[in-house]
Amino acid sequence: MKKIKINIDREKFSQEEIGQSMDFSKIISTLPATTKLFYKSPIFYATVFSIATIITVVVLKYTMQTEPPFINPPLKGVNIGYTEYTLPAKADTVLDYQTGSLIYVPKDAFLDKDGNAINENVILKYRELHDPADFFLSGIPMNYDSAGTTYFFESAGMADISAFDSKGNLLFANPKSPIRIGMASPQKDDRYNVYNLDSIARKWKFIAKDTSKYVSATIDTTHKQMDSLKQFSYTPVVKKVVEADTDNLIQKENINNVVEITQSLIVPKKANSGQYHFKISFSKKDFPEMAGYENVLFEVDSSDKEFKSQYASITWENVKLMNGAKENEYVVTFSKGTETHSFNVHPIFESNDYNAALIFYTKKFNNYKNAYLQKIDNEKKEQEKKKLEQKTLNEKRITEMNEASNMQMIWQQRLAAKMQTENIFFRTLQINNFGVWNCDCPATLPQGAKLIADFRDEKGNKLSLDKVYLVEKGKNAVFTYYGSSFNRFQYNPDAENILWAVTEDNKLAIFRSENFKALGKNISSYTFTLTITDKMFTDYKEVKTFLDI
Amino acid sequence: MEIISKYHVTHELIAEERDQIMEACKDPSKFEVLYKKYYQKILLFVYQRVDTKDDALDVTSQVFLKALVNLKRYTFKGVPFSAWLYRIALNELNTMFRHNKIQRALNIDTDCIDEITEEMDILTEEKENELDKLTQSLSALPDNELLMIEMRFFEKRPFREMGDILNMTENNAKVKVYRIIDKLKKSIMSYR
Repeated sequence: MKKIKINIDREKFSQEEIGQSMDFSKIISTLPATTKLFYKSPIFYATVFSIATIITVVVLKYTMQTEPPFINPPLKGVNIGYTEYTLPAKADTVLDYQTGSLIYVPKDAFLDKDGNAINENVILKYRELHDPADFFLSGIPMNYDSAGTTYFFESAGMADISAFDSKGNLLFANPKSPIRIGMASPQKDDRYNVYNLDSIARKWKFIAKDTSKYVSATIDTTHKQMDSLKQFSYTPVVKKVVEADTDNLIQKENINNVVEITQSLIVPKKANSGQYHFKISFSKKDFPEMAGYENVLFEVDSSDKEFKSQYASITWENVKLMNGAKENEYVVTFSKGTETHSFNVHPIFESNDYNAALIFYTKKFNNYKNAYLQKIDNEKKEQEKKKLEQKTLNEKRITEMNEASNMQMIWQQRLAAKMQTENIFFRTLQINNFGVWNCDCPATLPQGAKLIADFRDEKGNKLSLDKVYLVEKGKNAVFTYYGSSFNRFQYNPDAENILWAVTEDNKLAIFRSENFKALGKNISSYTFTLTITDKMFTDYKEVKTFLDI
Repeated sequence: MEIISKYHVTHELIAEERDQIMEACKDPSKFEVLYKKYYQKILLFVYQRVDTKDDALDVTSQVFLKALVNLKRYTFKGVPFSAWLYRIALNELNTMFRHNKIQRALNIDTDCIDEITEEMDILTEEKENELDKLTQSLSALPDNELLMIEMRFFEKRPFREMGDILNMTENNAKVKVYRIIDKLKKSIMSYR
């Protein structure tokens, strides 16, 4: 006999898990060699084997030399610069960045390649990217694959951080002593998640839900609980655990549920010997409150004076049962030809059936009641468990805060002060490894118009472009279209758009928002005539001004 | 003759998918578009029938690898490409179960119970008891019948799609499902 394991309400895959498990490169890498080469017969192999070997070697060499890096600034000679800090590895430090951000570097935050803590001074390189021009110039890929769909990041700010020893050797972050960044962010929404760019896997990794509010010692994805600690009274931190009045809530629910139970099942009643009654076939689906009973009869209400005894001897052609105005009341309609009579009735049972019905009702009611009480009991236990977990968590946070170093407190107090006096909005990042960290919200491609795009210069010559960049004003994102997607170019005709590209000779070619306005809404293809500037840019500010974004 | 896919809405999408398959036949790296498009569907289909997430991920990788290896044999028959992928997934799962490489699991979402008991037109007593009887009856079904119940009630697939995946007509799928429902009903009643 087959063995099947039964799972009830098992944990589902989250969208993030699906997105992260998707890895086409793994499929391709395990593909048998014969499948990769479709057209080549054995004869063909024999003929070209030696030539192919030579070509392969040459191509491999060429590829290894020319494959662009994952982070590839597209406009040669212009990039977003790093700020370099020299700081002691064995002491806590707070660093100021030009945007208003504050970086807290605890002691022992740096490890060498063998995992040893660094003792001497280190050089920390840091930069932030905040707008579409920054994203473009940095060359950091802004697309994110999740569950088979490619999204583009709408960003609330990125931080790029790395560290080196005095000899220029790359250092690694110590996860036991993480750097914390309070990043000043112009975007104040709470819809941005935290992602880290995995430059080896060449994809973004989802790290945590939004950390938009200022929180204390640890990165806190449930930051609401820490709001009460905004005033930062650190010595000692006031212990405050909010206790929900769960007992009262549960009691109320209990009462409501019992009321519902009694309403979902008719209460058996005995037949009244002085009243007419009859049996009617009815759909149990339409009247679930009577579905479990056998031999349900319907008795004419004593208040219904329309019923006449002679009706009992007529063979009616149609009988229809409907719910009455009140609970346990029904309306039955008899009809024959043009004659129709409706009466108020209620369900009853004759002696033995009544006893059986009563047993059924009692059993069922008790079962329901027990199940509900059990459910409520479980919920209460669950609530108590959660309460205890929350209490433990709060205790832990409070302990962490009390034990935190003075410099960390200074960092937190300065963030709080900046929030209050300079009205800066901060996002907190806990750095477990160096690289690019991003507060982002995945966005789909612009909607509204889709066309086949062709890109030409002002003389009508086709431009050879690897990619074009589209920015929709109001969205802090750069939508990058690669050559293969030029025939599926999407944009929002109702928005203010700017498009540009970098030509083969490293010049900026632009299609401005006023040009977009000339595009019809329902066109299927369009030739974009880009204006190429001869200006050679040397500074990112010049590029920002030129692009006007 | 132009073939209209049963699920795709526009000619543009049909043409796009056919082009993608043809391109992937020439260059396997082009298969990535289809991989991304159907990865989640296949993963969830597999996960519905296995015990662990790791098993589901492993089988799903195998499904796409086999699809890519055998892409040349694929012929467009007017149904979405996904139907072909589901069939590969079923074959892969059956092979794994047969060789006891992974555990066959019956994964029930209690939200789906009401629908199935309603279809059977049986009175729902305490949910726990009902669930117990249902799981016993379901696990006693032959593989092909359990598959149809899973597809219809746990994955909410339309009969048309079930027909496409299982290579039968929509009507045939419907008739079979209701016969299995009758069988299940009798089985559940026998426990009372």
